[in-house]
Amino acid sequence: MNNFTQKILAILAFCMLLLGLILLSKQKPTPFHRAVYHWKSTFARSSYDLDENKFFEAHSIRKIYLKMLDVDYSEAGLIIPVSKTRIDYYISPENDSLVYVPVVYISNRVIQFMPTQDIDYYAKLFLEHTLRIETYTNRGVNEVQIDCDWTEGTKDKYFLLLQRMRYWMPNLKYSVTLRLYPFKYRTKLGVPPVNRVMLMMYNLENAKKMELNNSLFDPNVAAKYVTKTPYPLPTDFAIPAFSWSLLFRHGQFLRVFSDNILDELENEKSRYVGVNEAYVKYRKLGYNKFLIEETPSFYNDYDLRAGDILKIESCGADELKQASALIIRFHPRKDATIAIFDFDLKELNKISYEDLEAAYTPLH
Amino acid sequence: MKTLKLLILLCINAVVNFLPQELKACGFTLYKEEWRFWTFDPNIGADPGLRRMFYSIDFFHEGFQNSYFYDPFEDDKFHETDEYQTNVKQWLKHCKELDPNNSLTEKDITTLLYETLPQDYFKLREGLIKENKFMAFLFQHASLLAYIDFAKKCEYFSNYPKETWACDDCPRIISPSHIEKGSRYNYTWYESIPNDTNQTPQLIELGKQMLAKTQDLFLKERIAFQMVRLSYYQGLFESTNAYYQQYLANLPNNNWLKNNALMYTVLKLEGAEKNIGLARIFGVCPDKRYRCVQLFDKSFFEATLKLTKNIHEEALVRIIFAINQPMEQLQNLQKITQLEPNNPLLPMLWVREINKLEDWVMGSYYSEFGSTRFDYWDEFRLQAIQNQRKKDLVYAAQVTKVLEQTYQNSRPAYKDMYALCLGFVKFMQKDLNGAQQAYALVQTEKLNQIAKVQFALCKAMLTLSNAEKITPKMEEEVAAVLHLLQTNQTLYPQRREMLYSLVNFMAKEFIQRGENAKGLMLYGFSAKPYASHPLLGLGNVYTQIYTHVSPQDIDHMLHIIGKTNKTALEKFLCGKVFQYTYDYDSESKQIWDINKLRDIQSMLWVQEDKLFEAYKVLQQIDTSYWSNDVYQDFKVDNPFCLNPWNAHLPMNFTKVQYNKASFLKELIRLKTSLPQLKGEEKARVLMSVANAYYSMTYNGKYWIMQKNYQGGGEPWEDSSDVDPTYYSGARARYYYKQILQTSKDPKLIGGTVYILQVAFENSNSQSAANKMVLKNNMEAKDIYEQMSMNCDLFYEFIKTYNYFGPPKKINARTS
Repeated sequence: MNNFTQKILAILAFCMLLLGLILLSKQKPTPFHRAVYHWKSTFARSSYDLDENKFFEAHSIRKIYLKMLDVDYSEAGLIIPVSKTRIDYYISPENDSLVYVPVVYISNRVIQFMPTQDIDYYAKLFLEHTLRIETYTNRGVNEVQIDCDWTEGTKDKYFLLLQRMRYWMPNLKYSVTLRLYPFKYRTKLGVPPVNRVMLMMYNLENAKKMELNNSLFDPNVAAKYVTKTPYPLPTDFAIPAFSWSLLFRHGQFLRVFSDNILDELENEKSRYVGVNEAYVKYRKLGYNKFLIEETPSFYNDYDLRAGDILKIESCGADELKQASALIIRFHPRKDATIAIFDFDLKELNKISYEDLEAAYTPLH
Repeated sequence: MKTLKLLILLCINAVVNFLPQELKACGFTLYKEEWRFWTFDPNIGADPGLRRMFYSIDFFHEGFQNSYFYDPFEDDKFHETDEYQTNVKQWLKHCKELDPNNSLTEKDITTLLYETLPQDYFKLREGLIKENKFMAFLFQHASLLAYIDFAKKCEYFSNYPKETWACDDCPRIISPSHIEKGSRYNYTWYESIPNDTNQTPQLIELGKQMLAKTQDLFLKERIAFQMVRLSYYQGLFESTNAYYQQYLANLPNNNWLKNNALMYTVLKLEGAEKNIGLARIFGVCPDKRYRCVQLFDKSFFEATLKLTKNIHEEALVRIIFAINQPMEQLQNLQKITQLEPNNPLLPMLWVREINKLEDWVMGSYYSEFGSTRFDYWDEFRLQAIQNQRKKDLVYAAQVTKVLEQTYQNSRPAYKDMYALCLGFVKFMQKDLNGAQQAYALVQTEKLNQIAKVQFALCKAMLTLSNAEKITPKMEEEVAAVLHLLQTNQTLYPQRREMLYSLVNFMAKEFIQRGENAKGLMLYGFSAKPYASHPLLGLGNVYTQIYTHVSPQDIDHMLHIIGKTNKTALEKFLCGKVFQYTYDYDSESKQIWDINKLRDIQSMLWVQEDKLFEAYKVLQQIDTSYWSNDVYQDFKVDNPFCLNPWNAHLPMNFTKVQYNKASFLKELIRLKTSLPQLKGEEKARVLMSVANAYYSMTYNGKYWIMQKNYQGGGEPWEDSSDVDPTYYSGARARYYYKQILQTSKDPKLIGGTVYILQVAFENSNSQSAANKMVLKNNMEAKDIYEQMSMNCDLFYEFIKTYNYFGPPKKINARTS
């Protein structure tokens, strides 16, 4: 090869490299479906919710995963519906372009203590409560989602419950939420008998441990669950943008409030300060923990007691971005949905439009 | 569809037509109990545990079930939770018997039994061992722990029915793929649904086993009680009865477990059967009295009487019925007295009658809202109140007669109380001598604290009513009673309400005896509504003063406030006053606002067109006073500029800023310059003066010069001719008319006629009179007509002829 040929080849190689770079720069992000989770105790939808409708429009959101029921186990009442979402639906179905996927949250203790002979009864009962949304929208739902942190010990009963649900309503599609742990250890924890899974990129650690600073999301911890092979079921992705308040009494976890309740306590304080000093008094213990020092006798919506400790955990724009960036490493398919958890305009408005758009469009 | 629309329109029309015609403000509703007049302390007839059965508007007037204001949580504040305390004490005793060396406290037991939700209990159970000695004790005594676990589960199923699986808006899956729609509009009324039937049988089974197994009588009774309750909430009424009969019926009558269980056996009954059961519980279980009264069905009263087995039961039924009745109960009282003359609840029932009467007879006189027998917005109420008052006085006379007999026959312990009632009911009828004689029967040295205060109050009211003029001695007596009611209000909360009613009474009595200043100042110490306000709904002390005061009265008030050696009453009057009625928060009280009083005084002077007097008063007001929200408006506008189309429109071409004082100063200056001016110059100053007066009318932007507030009921310029006697409307018109006699300028004449037409004189006769002025002045007529058709022309006129600053030739006087 003479010098001339070498030069030609070098120029060609350079041109190809340049072309490659140009093509790479023009590659569009994968157009995933966009959704949000609604995890509040009341779901209100009307044509007059201009802000909400604008938000859905601006981010091309077409799907809402709507929590309909929260089931827990208590020695007091056994298997109990601790929260049924109230529906205030005032929009004509033809004007409602959203698709609803009703979700039922079932605590693992429910599965643990559910008598095997009652599984069929509860499968039907949970489904009825979940399909309650149809009563309001006058439209049949296509998909139902079950949210449960099952373990190896409860796997069989849980999967049986899912099968019995399919028995009662075979035409529906079923999805379940999937933590990162069962995503990675799929052999041990099994693959649920459903159509899809929703991989939750958060809730990484045990929130009930008071000493943890933030159990919600850590990109380094999340990255440990990346696998070489995709999950055997079509996978959607939930990314976090929410706050919650964890209440501990006598050092034990008691309950969780799906919001930062300090805002509300501050509101109450501004209303009552100087009047009767009738508001919850608290002080910061460090980072995100707060000690309840005094509670009034008549306003105490959260049933707080002196000595209780509140831990506030939040995921904002940074966590949302980091979680979104990780999605690509979990083998997403083209038809995957990315859902932000959860839909709270007050919180989401703190995140810029661009950041939210970026979260919905992770790059390869 | 058209028919439907028509129907809807007709309905709206009907609603609008039949709405109260005197609604003063949007959305404001006065709650009857807030203005009810009462100065007679119900506690003198009963112990505080019965307070929920005292006469009041909200609980019994409309009946519990129908009362809009009924709030069970409010009731809980008054609930004397004796049974809780009894239970805690019983637990403490039982634990002592099991282990005499334990160090349990009532607090530990109360926390666990009554302050820990069942859901939380099971989450925290082990964690509580360290924190709660009772929990630790339970873990050492398995049978007790098993019972508390069981009781907490039962509590959950009894108290948290909303956490059940019942669901009306859920679809029903009939068979695979076969679904039946839910109903959106059929919300579950949580109280009416049974608990989850899938889970409770296990609990009932557990209870049965425990009942069979335990030998501990203390636990056995409690398990049986839980079974009664659980069975009741599961709708297993036969079991409810059976458990009660087998385990609890033989306990003593004062056993709280027995009585509570008995309540469940009665609740399942209906009509008269239920009523008689309730009456029996009412008789033996003080803690359940209130609930029994609530549940008693008045419509079965006669039928219930037929089921009574003895005199005592009949008395009980009548007592419950009487407590449940908002209106006259004299006949029933007589009957109860006949049946059981020494029934301990009789004094309370008598005081209820007194409280009713004072509301009906005195309430209709001592506040603008009248007796609570009537809705205050009822336009026919004034006549109705008068008619009803006559009937109430007849009833008062009947009550007096029976009370006299009751006093004669009563036990010595009740005599003083009845004498007080008798005196007060006579006082209400203006039988002042009779009242005096009845009060003389009271042996004051034997009275308890509450009765002593009541006696002093009754005497002071009587003294005041007897007087033609207020003497210093009377003032002392009044001050002493007011002080008595003010003190220890935390201990005796009823005194607060009594104080407010008494203040309303005394204020009116003082004013009627010529003591305007003191009377009006007294209103500052009442949060009980006494006057209506066209805009706010309720008058406050300053609006009350503004409405009824004279400039001299304000001088008197300021004198009292400024005095160094104050009498006892003056000291009271100079305390902090309520800024608003209907505001029970003593923290929001403030000291008298002297600037506000002076401001009101200046308004009164302006109303009389005594501008120098008004200006002198305003000069004494601190500058900071003008920085409040209302007066901020003055700083941005010019009252000498006017657009009669919209007199509130800012027209501050000259960029001059005014407050009340500087405005008056300028007006006085212009007015005093007038005699020295002639021709067009005078006409233009006249225009400024007229504009200024117009600004001070209710239509103008400076109405606050002479009005404390502007109400929605004011006559507006476009509705009719202005009443010339109404504030300064007539004065403004006088100066506009002066322009017509002074000026030759056709533009000014045409424009002035136009202002007169637009702002004052809409009627044909007035209009014709004004046009006569233009008859011989074609140019002015032309300008007038053009202005009528072209807004821009009039706007130009305003800019040219409105306030142009002080005339240069004249040295204006200041004041």
